[in-house]
Amino acid sequence: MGPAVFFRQKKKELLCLGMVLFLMPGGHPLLAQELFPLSEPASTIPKGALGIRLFSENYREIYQWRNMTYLRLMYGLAPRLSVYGSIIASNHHGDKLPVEFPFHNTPERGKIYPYKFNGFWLYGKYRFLSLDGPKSHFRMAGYLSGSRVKTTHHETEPNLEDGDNSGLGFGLITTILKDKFAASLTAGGILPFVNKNVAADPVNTLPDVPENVYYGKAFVYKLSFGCRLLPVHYKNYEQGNLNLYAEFIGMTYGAARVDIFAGRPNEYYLENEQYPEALKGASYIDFSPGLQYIYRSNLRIDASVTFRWLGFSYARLYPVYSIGIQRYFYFDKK
Amino acid sequence: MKWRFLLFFFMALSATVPGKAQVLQAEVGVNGLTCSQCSRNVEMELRKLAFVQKVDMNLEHTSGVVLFKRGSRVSVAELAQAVVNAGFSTRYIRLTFDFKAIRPGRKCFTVGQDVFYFLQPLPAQHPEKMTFQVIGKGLLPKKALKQFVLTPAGDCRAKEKFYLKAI
Repeated sequence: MGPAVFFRQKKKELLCLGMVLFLMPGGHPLLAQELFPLSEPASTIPKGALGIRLFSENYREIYQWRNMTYLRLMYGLAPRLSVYGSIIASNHHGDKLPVEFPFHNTPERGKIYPYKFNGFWLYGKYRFLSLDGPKSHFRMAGYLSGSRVKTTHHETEPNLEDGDNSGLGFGLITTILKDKFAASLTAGGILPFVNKNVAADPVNTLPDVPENVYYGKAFVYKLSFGCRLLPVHYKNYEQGNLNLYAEFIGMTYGAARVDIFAGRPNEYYLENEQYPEALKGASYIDFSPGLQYIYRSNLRIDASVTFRWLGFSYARLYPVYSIGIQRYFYFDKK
Repeated sequence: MKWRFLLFFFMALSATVPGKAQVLQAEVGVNGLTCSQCSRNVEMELRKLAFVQKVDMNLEHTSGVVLFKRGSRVSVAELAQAVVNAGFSTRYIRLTFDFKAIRPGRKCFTVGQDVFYFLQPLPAQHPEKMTFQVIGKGLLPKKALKQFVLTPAGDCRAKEKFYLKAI
C-alpha cells in the first residue's frame, strides 16, 4: 500500500488524530490528560484510595448487540503500587465450543449466547520511575495481570481484560506529560492458558467431543494521546472537565492449535493452513477516539468508539462503542 | 496536700487545652500533575493527616495551602509523604512560623520532633510571623536540593532535621 492510498483510506482516522494533536501544542491554554478511556497510564492510584469502575463494550453483530461489561475495584496499596480486580460478564461466549469447531463456521457470527458471568481478572501495576516537574512528568510502570474465565472463546486472538481467555499478561507502560501534551505507550504480552472444553457432536445421540484449544500468544501495543478541552482555566473542583483522546491499540498474535478428541486416539488432524482465518496468526491496530467528562473532579464518564485501522480483530465487529464510569473513594484515617 | 491537688489539676488542664500554634500554615507546591482530579488526590491525602485542619488547593498552580489544628504537632515529613502517597512529588514546602510562640535562637529552633536550622542567621529584630521554604530531602526536586550546602548549625536537637531558606 502506497502512502497516497494509505492516507486516502485512513482519512477519517488521521483527521481525528490531527484534531487531537492540533489542540495540544501551540498557544492554547490546554493541559494534558492521561486518564485514557481504554488504556492504563504509568501513574498509580493514591495510597489507600479505592476506585470503582463500570465499563461496557458494545457492538452490533448481525441481528443482535454483543455486550461485555465489567465491574472493577481498584486500590492504591502503596504510593507506587496499584491493584485491580474485575468481574466480567458478556453475551460473547458459550459453555461449550461450537459444533464441529474448528472446522465449521468459526467464528459463529450471529449465534445467540445467553448473557453470563465469564470470570475474573486481576492486575497489579508498579510505577518504578517518576521524573516529575511542574505540570509535567515522565513515568514508567510495569504490570502483571491474570484472568480466569470458564467460558469458551472461538478466536485465537487472546484477551484477558475483557474475559475472553484465562491466562497471564505482563508489560511496560511509559507515560509522558508535558504541559499541553500527554502520550502513553504500552508494550506487553499475553500468555493464554489452554482451554480444555467440549464441542457438541453433530450427531445428537453421540457424546460431546473433548477439545483442547491452545490460543496464540500475543504481543500487545497501545499508543494513547489525550488533552483537556474544558475548562480553559481551573478555578475549583466543581468545574466539569471535558477531555479528548485518541488511542491506537493493536496486537500481534500467533495461530491457535486445536486438539480434537483430546487425549483419545482419533483420525482428525488439521494443519494450521486449513484453520479458519479467525484461528490463524495475524496483526491489527484499532483506532479509538474518545471523549471524557469528569464531574466534580471525581466522577469520570468515558465514551469512545473503536474503528478498524490496520488489519482487524476477529474477536469483535466494528465499530465498537465503549462507555465507562468511574470514581474514587477516599478513606479518612483520623 | 492542697497545693499538690492544685498542681495536678493545672497539669491536667494544660495537657487538654491546645497550646498556641507554632506553625501557622504551610504552602505545598506539587510536581507531576495537571488535572483537577490529581489535585483532589493530593488534597485528600493531606486531609488524612491528624494535624491538618483545612486544605485549600490552587488547581491552576498545582499548590495548596494547609492550615493546622491548634496545638497539634505538625510534621514536615508527613506533609511531604502525603504528596508522595497521592502519587506526586513535592516542589516546595513553605512554612509560616509564629516566632512569638516559638522564641527561636539565631541559628535554630525545634518544633515537636523537627529541628529547623536557618540557612542565614535570624536577625535580632524580626517579625513575629515569618515564612520560609523548608529545605530537606524529599521536600523539593533533587536538582534544586543540590544547590544547598546543608550543615547543622547551632545546638538544637530533634529527630528530623530541616533547613530554612528565607523567602
